[in-house]
Amino acid sequence: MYEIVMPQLSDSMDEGKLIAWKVDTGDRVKSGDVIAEVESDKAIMEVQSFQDGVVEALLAKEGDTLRVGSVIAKIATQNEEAPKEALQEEKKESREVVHRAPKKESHKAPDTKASNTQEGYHSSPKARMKAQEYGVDIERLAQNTQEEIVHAKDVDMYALERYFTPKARKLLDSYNLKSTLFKLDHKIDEQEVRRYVKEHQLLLIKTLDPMQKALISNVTLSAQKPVFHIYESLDAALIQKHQNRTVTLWIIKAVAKVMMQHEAFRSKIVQERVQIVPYASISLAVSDKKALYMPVLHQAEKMSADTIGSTLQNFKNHLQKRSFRAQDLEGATFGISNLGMLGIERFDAMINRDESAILAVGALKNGKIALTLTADHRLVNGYEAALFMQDLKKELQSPLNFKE
Amino acid sequence: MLYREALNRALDELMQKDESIVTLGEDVALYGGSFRVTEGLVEKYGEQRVIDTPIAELSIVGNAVGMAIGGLRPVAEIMTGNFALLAFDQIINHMAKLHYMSNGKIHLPMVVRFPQGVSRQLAAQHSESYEQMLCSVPGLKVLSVNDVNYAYHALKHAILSDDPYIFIEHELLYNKKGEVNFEQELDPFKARIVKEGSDITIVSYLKMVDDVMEALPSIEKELACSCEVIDLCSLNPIDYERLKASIKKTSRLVMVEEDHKTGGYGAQIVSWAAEELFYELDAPPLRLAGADVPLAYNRALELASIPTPQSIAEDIIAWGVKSNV
Repeated sequence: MYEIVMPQLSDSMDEGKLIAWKVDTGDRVKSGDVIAEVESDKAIMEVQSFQDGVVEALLAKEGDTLRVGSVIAKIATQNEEAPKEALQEEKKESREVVHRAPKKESHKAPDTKASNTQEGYHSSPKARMKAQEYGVDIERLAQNTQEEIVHAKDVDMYALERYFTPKARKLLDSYNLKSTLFKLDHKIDEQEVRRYVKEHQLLLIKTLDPMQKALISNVTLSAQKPVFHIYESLDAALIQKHQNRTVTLWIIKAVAKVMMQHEAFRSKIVQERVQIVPYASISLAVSDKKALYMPVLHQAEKMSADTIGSTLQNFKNHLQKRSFRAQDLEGATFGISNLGMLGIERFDAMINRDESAILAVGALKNGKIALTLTADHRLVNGYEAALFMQDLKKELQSPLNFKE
Repeated sequence: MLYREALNRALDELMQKDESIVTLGEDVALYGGSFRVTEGLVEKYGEQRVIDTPIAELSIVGNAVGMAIGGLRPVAEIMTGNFALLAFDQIINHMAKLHYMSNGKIHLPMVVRFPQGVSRQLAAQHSESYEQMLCSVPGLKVLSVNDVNYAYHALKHAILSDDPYIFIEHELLYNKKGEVNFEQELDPFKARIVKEGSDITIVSYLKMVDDVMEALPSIEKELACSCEVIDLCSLNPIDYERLKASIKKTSRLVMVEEDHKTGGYGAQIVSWAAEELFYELDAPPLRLAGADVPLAYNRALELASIPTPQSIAEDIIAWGVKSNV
């Protein structure tokens, strides 16, 4: 590799302006050929190549002002001419090369010849070994990295960036694959990595985040609870009539009211005692593909339809931003889960945390909505649950519930 | 169990089984040994087998060589490494060589034990390390003891072997606590992996292993890396296999020793790595050793002359930053 640097054309010259390129990337040049025109503080001068080769990269744009000594072009000398494809790629990458500060010597002694051995960097034996293995030009790499010493890590990074598309790199990461598993002589895309994964039947291993761990322990505890179910069907004529609000909203409103009449649904077991909460605080399952939360509408019995509406909107925002706080998820004694909007006709839900029961809301079909109550038998008996469901149905079939 | 108790137990067990095993040295009998390693043995096995000697190291080892030639298994104790210098003629010219010079007719099933290294303010004549000299003598096997479990098993192995052993202990380790696994014998020539890691191989032996371990949390935190710490155990022969596997994994080597740096033992490990593993290395090996000065009596100067947990941490972190660990 032969480099052409910004020459020092006069004693007082610190930087020079690149006026025009006289060659283009890929051009063959002979020793003595004019490469560029450069303007010093005094005049416009020509910059020549002092070696034969092929222009591999032009590192500055016409009009750029560059410090004396910074590399402005690279010429591949005969025995190291890169194949055309690599050249194209290199051209793109090298545009982003950060110019190194000029070396002290080059300031004193103007040097348009530019030595063809790259000085000012070291590389570890292992880095050189790897560079050879990957077919990476370590000098080029040294210029690209700002490190004084090139380590194996730098070669790895460089090879990754050079031979793998960003998506492919991401896949390598998630499957914990080494780049050397692939033949490093072409750009490797996501498809190729996927093929490798399929061929070798590799498992994708994901670690659980704290939220997932909490969810697992929560549902595991829930599965141990002694529960029973009550299956009901609701005449949804009034809900259908009031479509300005969501099904969920009307149900929350009704549940809050009915909870106030049935203290079993406002109770929880704390250290072998039953605590009865004076409010109807309701948790609601909100989720997307990746996360499930049960944020709480605190004291829902006091909320107007409007307040419930804006609270639900808040939940949506928090879900998107994953910004629920611990206190947003605590304090309910009753849960609601609605999969009706996804067309699920009927299902049963798992009780959240230490709550007494959960209501699973199905899709509206033929004027009916299927409701399933799952209750913790330690807190609620069947008779109470039946009464609760009766009252809830009454409430949802009463025009009073739908008053704004 | 304490380090010294593990050594005592190894001696005791074997002396009980095998009458040809004797131990000799200054104050090993009535006084129980300067570091209490031979405590209680004279009461059990009598003055014929637990022998107090004059203050004459050359004669201690000379007698042991004679005993070994004659069919006994002597374990000679020298009070400290510096005193062993007086016995070096016997150790080097006789103990190490007679087997070879007799064309294998003479066996020397003997052990010379001594503690060495920097203790607390024992000054230049009682603080030195001599593994570098002894490891350059072919014919000797040289073991170094950091670990309590290793102390027990390695001493037993050395006593029962038909070869001459140098068994190096450290003055500051005699009261080190540890577990001994009596069920599981070990190969004394295998290096011990004290802690597994993936980014830096730190090789050490004797007391410096403990200092490295003390320095480790701050090193691993500062460099956000994981270190593999290896206790060499056997200084000659060297378990190159294990070192190689570790350095291939981490591609970085740090050698920590207490001895003076110039001509010190760790130079062997580093030069071997340069010769054999050059292309595996991603950073120049780092060698931390004592200063090239006679040890001072003054405590501050003494500590300034050898690697300490603090200096080990500082030096490795500085090197690690430069090497982009």
